[in-house]
Amino acid sequence: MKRAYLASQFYVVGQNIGAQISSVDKAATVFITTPIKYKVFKESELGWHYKNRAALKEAGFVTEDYDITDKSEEDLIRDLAKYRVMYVEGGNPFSTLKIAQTNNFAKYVRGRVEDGMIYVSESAGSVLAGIDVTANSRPGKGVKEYNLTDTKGIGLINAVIMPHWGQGPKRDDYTEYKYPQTYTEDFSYIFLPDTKYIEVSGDGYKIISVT
Amino acid sequence: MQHLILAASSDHSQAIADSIYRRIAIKNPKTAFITTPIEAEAQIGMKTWEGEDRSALTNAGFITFDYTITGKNREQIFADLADCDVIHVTGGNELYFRAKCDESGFEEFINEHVSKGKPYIGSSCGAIIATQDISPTSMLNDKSLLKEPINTKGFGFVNFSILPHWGLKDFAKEYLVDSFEILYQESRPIVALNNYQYIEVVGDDWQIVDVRSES
Repeated sequence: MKRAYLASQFYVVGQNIGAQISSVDKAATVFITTPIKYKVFKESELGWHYKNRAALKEAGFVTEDYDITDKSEEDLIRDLAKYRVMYVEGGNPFSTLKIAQTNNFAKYVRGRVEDGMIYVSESAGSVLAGIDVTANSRPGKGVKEYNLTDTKGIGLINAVIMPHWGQGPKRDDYTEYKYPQTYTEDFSYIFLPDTKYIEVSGDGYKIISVT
Repeated sequence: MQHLILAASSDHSQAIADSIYRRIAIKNPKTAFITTPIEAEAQIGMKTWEGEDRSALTNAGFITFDYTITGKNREQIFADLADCDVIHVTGGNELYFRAKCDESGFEEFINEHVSKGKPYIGSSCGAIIATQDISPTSMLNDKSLLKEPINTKGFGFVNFSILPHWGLKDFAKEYLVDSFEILYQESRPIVALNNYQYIEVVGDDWQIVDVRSES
């Protein structure tokens, strides 16, 4: 049965997610780093990433890093077979999707999740898990910059996930770009605050609040 | 275990009503078609859509009868609706409907109906009132017929807000401009649904059904 935990900001809700997953599964977690590989960050810009790593560790996940860049489909099948949990970090869903389209990463993940691998993510990783990534675009970080003609996500949930809803620092991105971009009849949209996450269990969803 | 169908519009196409009928899985269910939310709109001369809603449901197999909670009390509502298989609350003015729920005791009835596992269908207003808080869409409602203080509490069947008719030009200003401040809150997860979609809630789990992917 399909299982996924789709967060907006992992370190806020990670303890709660960790409590839903067995120690055996958490002991075999692959940390997909590709979403943060799209640029060289200053150390001061990575506080959220280090908090996510700390939260994973505190919640009992034992992780190994993996970057899908320059990997073939065969590499993915061979390299990721031993993992029971896949954590996909925040960062850039567009650059990640572009890379994912070179090695059928989305198809691979869908198949593994159907077979029991648990998908855990935050922000870009959750956007990727949705049905489409387009509405999360903003100038400098969007589908145009990566010439994405196919904008379909992994499709673990049949909605577009809009993370960091209600966060002050994201407000301008939402008012100027993201919120108006959602106003179409193409998909359903889930606006997800940092204190919530979506639990996917089979075909059912729940929004879990962590206070 | 609760079974809810929360739709942007149950009349947008016959496909929506047919899809809902299949999910309800009761042959020709006796269905109370609660018309109260449209009363406010009718009183101020707005076009109402209940005719199309009712026709689509009837064509799908629901056996409907119109019912308003206006002027009723708790005992009448329990007596009148106790043998219904399905309660359908139509679109309209959710603030007005909330006020009529408070006057009549309808919320106690619907809580009992849902807790028995009997289906509830909400279309637009009927979907919004099923959430915890109806204030996010209050700008869509005329308030001239309401008395202060205005109650904006929903039935609380689901823990997220629902924005129906997402993507329609008719509501673009209300959603994109007028309501942004009340919507953009850390405490408020939101599901925006277009007119081709509905949410089916079974117990604590829900899923989004898009009838375009069913055909």
